[in-house]
Amino acid sequence: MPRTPSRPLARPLSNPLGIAAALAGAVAAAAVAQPAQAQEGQERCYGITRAGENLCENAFQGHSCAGQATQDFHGGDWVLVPAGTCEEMQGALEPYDGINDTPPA
Amino acid sequence: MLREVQRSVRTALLGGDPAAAEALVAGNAVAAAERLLVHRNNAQLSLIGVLAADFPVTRRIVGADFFTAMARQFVFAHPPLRPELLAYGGELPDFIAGFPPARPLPYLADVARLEAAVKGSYFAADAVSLRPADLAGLQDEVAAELVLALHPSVRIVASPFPILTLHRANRADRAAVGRVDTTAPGETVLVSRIAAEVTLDAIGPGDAAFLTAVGAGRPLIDAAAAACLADPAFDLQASLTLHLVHGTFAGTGSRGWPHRQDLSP
Amino acid sequence: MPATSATIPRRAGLGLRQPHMADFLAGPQPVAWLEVHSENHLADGGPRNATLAALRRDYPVSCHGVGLSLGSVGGLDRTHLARLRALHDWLEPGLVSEHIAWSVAEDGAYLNDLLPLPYTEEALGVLCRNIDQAQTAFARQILVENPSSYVTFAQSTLAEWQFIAEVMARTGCGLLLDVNNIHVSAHNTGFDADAYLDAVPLGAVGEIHVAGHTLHRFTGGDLLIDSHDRPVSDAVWRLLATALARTGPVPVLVERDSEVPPLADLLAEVAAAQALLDRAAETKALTDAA
Repeated sequence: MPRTPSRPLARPLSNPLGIAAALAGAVAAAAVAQPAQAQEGQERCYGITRAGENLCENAFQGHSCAGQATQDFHGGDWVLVPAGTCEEMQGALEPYDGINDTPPA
Repeated sequence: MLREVQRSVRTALLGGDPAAAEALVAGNAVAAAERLLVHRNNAQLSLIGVLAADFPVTRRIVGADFFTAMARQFVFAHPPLRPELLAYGGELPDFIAGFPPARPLPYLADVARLEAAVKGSYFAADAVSLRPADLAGLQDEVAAELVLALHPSVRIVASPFPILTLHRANRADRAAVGRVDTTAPGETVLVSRIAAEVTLDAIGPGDAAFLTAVGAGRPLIDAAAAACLADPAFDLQASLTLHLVHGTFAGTGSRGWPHRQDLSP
Repeated sequence: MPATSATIPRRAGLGLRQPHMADFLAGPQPVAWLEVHSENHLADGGPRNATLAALRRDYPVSCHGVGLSLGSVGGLDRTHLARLRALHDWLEPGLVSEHIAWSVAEDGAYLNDLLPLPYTEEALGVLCRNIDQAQTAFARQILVENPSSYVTFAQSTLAEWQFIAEVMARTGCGLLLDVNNIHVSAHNTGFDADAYLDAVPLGAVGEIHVAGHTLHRFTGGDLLIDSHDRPVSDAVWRLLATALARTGPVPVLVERDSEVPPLADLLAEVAAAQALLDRAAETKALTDAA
């Protein structure tokens, strides 16, 4: 999305004339603007194409997840602590502790 | 009998006592309990896997172990009530907000809300955005009473925390970008999928109020008033320009036009 | 929207998965037809369905449902039936299939796994009533797939093949014969796969599935898991050949759902399935001539 011009205008928005003028100005400005392709500062989300899939195969993998699940489950007294590090990064990235900051009081 | 089978297996699969189901299952060398375990793991791991795929930023923030444990509790409390996993996980943000172990990360629920919005936007209906020429040459009264439809993929997520910055810093497909100041001012995010990809843009409070009013079917003059109330510096022309270029609007009508769009994730 | 004929040819097809969508969009692939999981396309819009719409112009498509829960004692979800019907109206699939299983509990919880039914007269009644309802809602015949079994119930009074034969006889639905499931269930529940093929109503077979499985060790023994994460095993190829020798050519689908390899690897499996289909066609031609 294009950057918002930071010019506060004291335009009288409470009357129809102001609305029409703003709209006409926007139509003229937008007509010559570039479409929203790869704007600077825009976040684009990839990697969600597998979102929410129903599969008919079995998720059960050929290793010890059965035993692990049993432990997770019947223990009941484990303490949950958010890790706050990128352990999924397969070592390709540096440890990241940015979001593990002490939250605001 | 079939009722009893399905009730007991459901209990065994989602965190309950498996004894009743085990008693119904024939075992031999491999015990009944272990046979049922195959289905229990299928059910739990597949649903947790769906949440992990749909909330990658939330997962990266808390780590895989925490996420899996939290997601499992969520699956027990909120199993999908429709067999469509494209729509699963919408209640996870509220669940996180009330999940005591996540309390040290007060922004986590809003980050998850942003991810839920991304998922909703991705699978939302397609529409052709309005072009500037579609709105050219309107009379004063017509312009003031104009009702715009938002693109069906538009979602707005507001938070007292810097959720877009947190999202950007914790994308699984990107390198770490350094520390994030979680005490920085809150951010409101416009989520949309105008072209093939979902995009996230920070918007100001005036713009958020404006789009929310437009989405509620309010005419431009009312939406502009709501925006000015939220932010006295709101610039209608700048906002309209932005959204015409972005493709935020996808239809027109006039006051009373029966449409109302829910922009919540 | 569809440009290609809806009819699924009696040839080898492939289950369409996300990682290969770009390959299929890039150019024609040597695959006679595609199958999708219906529930993955129950979206209002978005890139995934746009891709499917584009591919549907070039390939016949089969809709394989995984969430209807035909075995649910509480009956079928009417909203889901309507959503699937709308998908069928859009895609015009050549075949519509589901499973002999349940996945929705009485309280409406969707368990996302294909769960086993006891083989009893009661379960037969529930399953047949639900299949009737689905065939009415879709205004077409459906195929139902034989399950992969890990669990059997002490209360069962029928063998799986008897149960399946009754379902076909009572509802007029077709059989989606998954020969990997036969192999997996034979190992896990102790029956003979060839005897199973002798007993099921092969005349009702409208499609065959092949896929890979994984051996998992438990304390007292091992189970074969229907994991769809590796190539089709030799034993399963043999079962496919045996089945095709009796059914003659029918649509055969190669499925891979996890650890999905590059498309080329799966095209080799599709070609292998096609070779068996070609041989079955020759045999049938010779038999017919004699």
